[in-house]
Amino acid sequence: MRVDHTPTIFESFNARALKPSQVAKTFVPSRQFERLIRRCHSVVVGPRGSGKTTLLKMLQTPALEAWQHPLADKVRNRVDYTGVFVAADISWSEQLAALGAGHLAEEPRRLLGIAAFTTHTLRSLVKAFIARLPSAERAAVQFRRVELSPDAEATIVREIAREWHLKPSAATFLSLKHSLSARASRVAQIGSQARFLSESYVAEQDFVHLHFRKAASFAIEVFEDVSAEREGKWAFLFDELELAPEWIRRDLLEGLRSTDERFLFKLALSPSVPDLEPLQHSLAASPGHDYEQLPLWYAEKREAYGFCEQLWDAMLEERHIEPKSARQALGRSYFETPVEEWRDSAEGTAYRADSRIGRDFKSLAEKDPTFRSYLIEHGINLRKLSKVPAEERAAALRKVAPLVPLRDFYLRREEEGAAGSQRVRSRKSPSLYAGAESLFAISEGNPRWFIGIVDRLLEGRNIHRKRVPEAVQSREILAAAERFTAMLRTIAVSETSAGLSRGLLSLVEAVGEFLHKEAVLRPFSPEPTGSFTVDSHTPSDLLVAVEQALNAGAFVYIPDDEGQILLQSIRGKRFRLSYLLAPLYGFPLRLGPPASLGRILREVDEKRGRSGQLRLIGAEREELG
Amino acid sequence: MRLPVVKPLTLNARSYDLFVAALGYEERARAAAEQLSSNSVIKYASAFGDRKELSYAENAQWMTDHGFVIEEARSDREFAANIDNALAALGEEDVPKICVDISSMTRARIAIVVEALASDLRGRLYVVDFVYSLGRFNPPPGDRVPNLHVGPVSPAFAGWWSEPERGVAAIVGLGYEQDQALGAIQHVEAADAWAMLPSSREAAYEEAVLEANRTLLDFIPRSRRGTYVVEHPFESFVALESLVEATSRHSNVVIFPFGPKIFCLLSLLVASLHSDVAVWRVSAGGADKALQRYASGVLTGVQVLWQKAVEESGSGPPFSGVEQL
Repeated sequence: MRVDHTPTIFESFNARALKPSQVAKTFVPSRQFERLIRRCHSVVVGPRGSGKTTLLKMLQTPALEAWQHPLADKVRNRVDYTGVFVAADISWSEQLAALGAGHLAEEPRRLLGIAAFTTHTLRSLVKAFIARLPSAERAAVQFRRVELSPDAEATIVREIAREWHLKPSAATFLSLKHSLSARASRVAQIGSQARFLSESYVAEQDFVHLHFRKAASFAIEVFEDVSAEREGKWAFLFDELELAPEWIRRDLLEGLRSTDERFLFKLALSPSVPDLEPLQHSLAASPGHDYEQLPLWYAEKREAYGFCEQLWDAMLEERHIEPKSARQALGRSYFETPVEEWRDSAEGTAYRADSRIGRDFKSLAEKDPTFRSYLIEHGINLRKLSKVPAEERAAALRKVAPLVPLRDFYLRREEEGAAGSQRVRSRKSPSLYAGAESLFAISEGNPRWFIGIVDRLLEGRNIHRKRVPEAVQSREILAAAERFTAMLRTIAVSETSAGLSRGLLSLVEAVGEFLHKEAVLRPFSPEPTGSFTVDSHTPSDLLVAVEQALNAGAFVYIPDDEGQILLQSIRGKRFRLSYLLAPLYGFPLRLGPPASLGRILREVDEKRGRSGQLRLIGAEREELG
Repeated sequence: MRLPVVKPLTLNARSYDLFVAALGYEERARAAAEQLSSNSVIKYASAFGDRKELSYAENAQWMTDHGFVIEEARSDREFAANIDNALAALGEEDVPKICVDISSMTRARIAIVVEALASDLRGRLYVVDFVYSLGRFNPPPGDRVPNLHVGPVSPAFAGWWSEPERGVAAIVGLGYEQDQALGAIQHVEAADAWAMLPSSREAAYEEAVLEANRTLLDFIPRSRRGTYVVEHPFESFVALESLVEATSRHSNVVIFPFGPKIFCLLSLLVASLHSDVAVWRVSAGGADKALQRYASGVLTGVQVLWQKAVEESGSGPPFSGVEQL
C-alpha cells in the first residue's frame, strides 16, 4: 500500500494537527476571541468542535505573527504576553490513565502521571522560547522576538537543565526540547517496566517531584533575566482540561487565583466537567474578577450568524472562489422572511395572500384543521392577510411563521373520504432545511460543523452555479447530521446497578422525537415545546448521559445567568437539542418553551411500549437527488 | 515488552506443548481445535462466565471429550492470571510450541495473551501459532446497544505519545456495524484516517462492510484505503506494519481493529513493535445479542517468535521469510 500524505478532509475539521501558522491562515476572529486576548485569566467553555483549540492556538507567537487580517495589527498590539500552548486529547488522557496500571500502587502512578504532564508542559514552554528567537525566514511581521546570542542561549539552557534535572547533549533550546521528549519516553518505560522495579523506584526519580508551575517560573525568570526582556507575561494555554486527571485539573483551576504576576492561565473546558464542586472556592467568587468565562456556543441562533458569514467568506477566499454571500449561493431559509417579500410589495409586508408566507399558510390550512382553528380563533382571513394590523400580525402570525412550513412539509393533504387521519411523511426531510440562515443555525456557529458542511458544498461546480441546488445542500446537511450521530453512538455509557443505562444516542433520539411530535403531530400550537429542563430527581445515570450529550454538542445549554456558564450541576438547568439534529428528527430551528426531561422520556417510552418499536433514525437512507 | 518476529504459518496438526482455545457460544470456537489440537500435550480452554447459549454446551462437551482442561474466567483479570499459570505450567522445553486459537476470544483477551507472551517474566522464548477460523457470514444484529468501553484494548496497548501535540491518524480495520468506524474516528478527533477493508472467501462480508461504511468511505479518498486478505494474514501484517511505520513518522497513530479478529491480532503485533501506537476497542461489554458463527472452513494464522529484548538480540526486521509487499 503506497502511503500518501496528501491532507484529507478530516484535517480541516480539526485544529489540533495544524501548526500555529496554518491555523492563522484561515482564522476568523469572533467576539469571543476579542475577549480571550485580554490580559487576564480566561476559561473558554464549549462542546467539541466549537473552536477552543483554534482560539488557544491563535495566542501563540507564530500564529499571531503569521495572521494576516484587517484586525491582526490591532490584536498584536494588544497581546503583550507569550502564549504557551499545552495540547491534550482523549487518546493522551487514556495513556496517562494507563501508566503503570495493574503494576503500580496508586501513589507512584499519580507521581508518574504528574511527571508526564509536567514534562509535556515544560516541553511546550521550551517550544515557546524557541518561537521567541529570530526566525531564519525573517517574516515580514516580527512579533515578540528577542535577540539572543548563542552564549546567552547556552547560559539559559544550562541553568534550566540543572533545575529540571536534564542533561541535554548541547546547550541549545532544541536540545533541551529533545531531552524532554526523551524524558517523556522514559516515563512510559518506567510505567511499562513497573513490575520489575522496587516500590520506591518512582519516588526516587528526582524529576517526578518537579512541579510545572515552579519549574516554569524558574525557567521564565532565567530567560527574562538573560535576554533582558522583562516586558509582558506568559500565558499558559491548556486545552481539553476535562480530559486531564483530576489532580491536574484542580491544580490548574486553582492557578486562576495565582498571585504570580507573570502568569496568565487560559483554560479550555467542556461545559460539564467532573469534580468542579471542590473547586468552588476557586471559581465562585472569581468570574469577571480573577478570570473571564467565555462560552463558545449560541443559545440564540442569530448570535452565530455574523461569525458564520465571516467564516463563509474566508472559506471562499481560501479556495480562490469568486466572492458570493452565503445567501446568494444558498438562498434563503424557509424559516426566514426574505426582505424582498415586504420591501418590494405595495402593501409593504410579506404577509400577503400571494407571498410565499401567504401560500405556506394557505397550504397548511388546507391540510390541518387545528391550524384552521387557530386562524379562526385569531380572526385571521388568509385572503386578507395584508390587512391584519401590525400588532396582531406580530402576535398571531409572525411568531408562528417559522412553524408553518415545517408542519406543512410533513403533513400530506387530507384525502377526501379519509377518516380525518393525516398521513405523515418520513421524518428525515432535510430539503426543508436548505438556505443560508438554516445552515448557520444548523451549524450552531460550531466551526468544525460549519466547515464540514461548507467544504463539501464548495467542491465541484455547484458553487459556481447561480445557486447551490437544495438537493445538494440537503444531502450535505443530512450527511453531517448522520456523521454526528455516528459519533454520539460511539460514546461509552456507564453501567449502573440497575443494568445498562440508556445510551446517549437513544436519549437524544427520544428528545428529538418528542420535539417533532410537539411541532408536527400534536394539534397546532404557536409555541410548541422546544427545550427541556433536567428535574431535580433525575437519576444519576441519566445525568451522566445528559452531561455527555452536552459536552459532545448534542444538547445546548440555555443559561439563565450569563455570568455562570460552567456547570457544577445540571439539575434544574435548561437545554435544547442541537439544530444539527433538526433535519434528522424534524423539529423547528427555534427555541421553544421547556418541558421536563422526565416527562419527555416517559411519554416516548410509553409510546414505544404501546405501538412497538418506533422506526430507528438512520435505519434507512433516503435517496436524495 | 519483547519484540515479536512474525512469520507465515503453514497449518498442520503438529505437536504443541500447549493448545489454548476459548470456550464460547460460537460453533467455530472448536473448529481449530478439531483440526490441530490432537497431538497437543496440554489442551487448555478458557470459558466465559456468562452467555452459555447457542453452541456453548456442544463445544464444552467436545472439549471435555477431547482432553481439554476447561477453566472459567469471569473477568479479564482472572483470564490474565489463568494464562500466566498455563504458561508457567509448561515443562522445561527450551522453546515451547504453543497454539492459540483466537477465533472466539474477545479482543481484550487476545491482547492479554499477546502481552503475557511478550512480557514473560521468566524470559522464555516461545514459538506461537496464532490461528483464526473465519465465521460463515451472518448479518449483523439490527439493534445496537450502547457501548460500555471505548478506549485502549488494554493498558499495555494504550501507546505512548511523547509529542501529544501531533495530529492523530486513525487506522481502522472495517467491520460491518453501521458507521462504527466513522464514529470511532470522530471520537478520537483524528486528523487523518486510513480504512482497511477485509476481503475473504465469504464475499457477503465485503458487501456488508461497504454498505455499513458508506458514509465514511465517502470521506476517505481511495489513496487512503487498503484491502487485506483474511486468508493471508502474514502479508496483511507486513502491509499494516509498513503503513504504521510510515504514518507514525508524522502522526500519533491509533488502530481500531473492527471486523475479523485476525486484524486485531495483527494490530497488537504491530503495536508490540511500535510502542507509541495505540490499539483501541469499542465494545458493548457483552450486552449485545449473542450472534452465532459457524466455521466457514477458512482456517488461517501467523507464527510468532518471541525473542529476547532488542539490546540482547540486536536489531533485525520484524518479519522474515517473505519479501515485503
